[in-house]
Amino acid sequence: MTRLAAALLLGSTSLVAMQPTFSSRVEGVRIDVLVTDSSRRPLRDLTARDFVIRDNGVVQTVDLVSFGELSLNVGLTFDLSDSVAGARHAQLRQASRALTSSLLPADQLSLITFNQVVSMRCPPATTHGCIDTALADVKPSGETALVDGVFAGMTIGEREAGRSLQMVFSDGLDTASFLDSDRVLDMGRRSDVVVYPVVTKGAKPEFLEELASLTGGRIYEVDRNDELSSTFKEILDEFRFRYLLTYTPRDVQKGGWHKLEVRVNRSGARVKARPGYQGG
Amino acid sequence: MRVLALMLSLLATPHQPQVRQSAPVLLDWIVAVREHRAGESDKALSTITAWTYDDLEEMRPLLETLVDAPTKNNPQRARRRSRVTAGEMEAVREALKFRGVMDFDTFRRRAAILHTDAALLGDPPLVTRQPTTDPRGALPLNSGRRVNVRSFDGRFEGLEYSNPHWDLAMDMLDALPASPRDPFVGQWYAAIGTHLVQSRRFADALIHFERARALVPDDPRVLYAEARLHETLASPRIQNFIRVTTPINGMSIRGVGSSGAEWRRAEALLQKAVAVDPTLVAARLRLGRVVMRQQRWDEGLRLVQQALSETQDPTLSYYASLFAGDAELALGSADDAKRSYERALSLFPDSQSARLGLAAAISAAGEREDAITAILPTLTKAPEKRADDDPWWIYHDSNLDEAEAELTRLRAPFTGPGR
Repeated sequence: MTRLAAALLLGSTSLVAMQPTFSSRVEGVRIDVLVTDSSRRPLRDLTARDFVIRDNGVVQTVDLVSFGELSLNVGLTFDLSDSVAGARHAQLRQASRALTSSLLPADQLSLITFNQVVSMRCPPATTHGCIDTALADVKPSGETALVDGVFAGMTIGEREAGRSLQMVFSDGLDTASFLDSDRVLDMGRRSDVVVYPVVTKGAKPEFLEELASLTGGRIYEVDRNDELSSTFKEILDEFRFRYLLTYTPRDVQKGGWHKLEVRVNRSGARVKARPGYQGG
Repeated sequence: MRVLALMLSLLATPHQPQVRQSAPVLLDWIVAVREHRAGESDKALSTITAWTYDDLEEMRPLLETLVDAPTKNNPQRARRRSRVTAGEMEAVREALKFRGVMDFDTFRRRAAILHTDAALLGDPPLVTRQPTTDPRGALPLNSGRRVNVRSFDGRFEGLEYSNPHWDLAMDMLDALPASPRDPFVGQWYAAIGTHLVQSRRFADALIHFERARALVPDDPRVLYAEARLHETLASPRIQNFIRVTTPINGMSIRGVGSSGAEWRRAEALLQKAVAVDPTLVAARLRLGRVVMRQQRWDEGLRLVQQALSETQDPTLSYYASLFAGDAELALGSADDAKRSYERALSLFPDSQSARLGLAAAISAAGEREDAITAILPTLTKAPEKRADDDPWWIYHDSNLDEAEAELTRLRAPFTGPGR
């Protein structure tokens, strides 16, 4: 009984710390879109008139386009299992410091770590100092519940406020999860969270590749540990220069899988967005 | 336990042993068999564990001959036996005189226990002859010896020889009466099989069950233990490792099939186990999960619900509730899934897996805030206080069948010296 009481108390304490609270879901569909030119530089001056969205083939009216206006909700989901011990852990800390220094004051940052145990080390907050302290306190050990960890990160990141980016770092091999990867991929189809996995070379993580593709993110493969800092910053820069499009679906059925097509009326423009969403 | 052993395929060049001074060594062995107290690291065990890998290879045909292990349907043993010289045969006959008045089958059982304890309690035998080394300088790979892969958390950690004491223990069991089969054989294969699976010595376990199949094909305890092995081999922890690992250039890990093949193998074994012993609830529970992993959700759900109704064991009930939740979620019954995960939480209130499952069920229903509320208690609990929170973490390795207790029962008749 004592143990249960302690757990509940901890839960309550952290809930308070997680302000602001989560808002309920709206009817509109949000699509996080990256638009780049042929040199992969973000195009920054687009308006609603430049976008064409097709939902199951039906052209939709874009209600709102935001670019660089909304604060970011950045979730870090880090593998701290045995395989990450040593230099990789040190570089992960360094990369997190580099990332933190690139955030704006209004951006929220959170940290979830996992081995077989999934833990929220830092709840979402605009004060970012918790991350480095938390990473310093953890000694990587144990097995890898990658799917469980990603699910937890996406669940916490599923907030309407701001734009949600999940950066997942892992060596890519799940050895301990309870949840089936299909369950988390299904969640990715329903989610507004954009997942950017960073994996070590050779890990071949099919699950993370598919999740990145489903959510409109991109997978990065690092060859050397010292590439982590530049990779994290690159992801943050790319995400900050994405457009958030909102529309209210018209003339399409509510439920089922909705195939999305996003186009931009600019010559040479490249568009990256999630391929669809699960309605209902 | 940090050892995950898988078997590698090897280019084998048969080793040609040169038996030297076999008679005194045989006498040492007989004395060790007689004097060893099961489960103890005594002087008798020290005698045997001091033997090198090469000594054991040289002694194997002589010990097989001494206990009269059958060569029928065993061409490898027949080949080994054919190399035993007349002088060595004479040494074997002389040594047998020192067996004393002990019943020969009791002697064989004691010999099996001696080598079992050598494998369990002793250091791995020293390898003195290193014909060549592999490209990483780790092990000679052209000696015809079985080499196991050691890994942890999906990472290749190294290579090691399979412990030959396991082979010798099984050789002793081969010599016990076949018709009817000596009950000790099934007891040994069940207890040691469970131990090998639990301690993640999968390569040794594969050989173990291959030999068990020839002797005790219908023993439900052995079938269940082997099914657990294949269930684990089908899991992502093994399949992912094999997918990305090439231990040495030109070599591949063998003994492990595709996940589909391993699920099917586990299912067949569990079907047989519950057919032979319908009271084996743990086997029915795992059968349900194995069936679900093959996308037969309805069938799997019925099996885990049956298991749930048949057991009072909190851990088995917890697993059954978790798996029922999985099936219900896959079948689109989010409310039923929520109830199943909540039942699992009532058994283990701090369980991470049940909370993740509950959050998944809630999230599937579109209730994002409630999903976050469901998951927070486990995410925010101090990690250092969570080691025992979730039975799922030991599902693949757990001692559901009390492996240690089985070992104790196995050793019980041999805890004193033989007469």
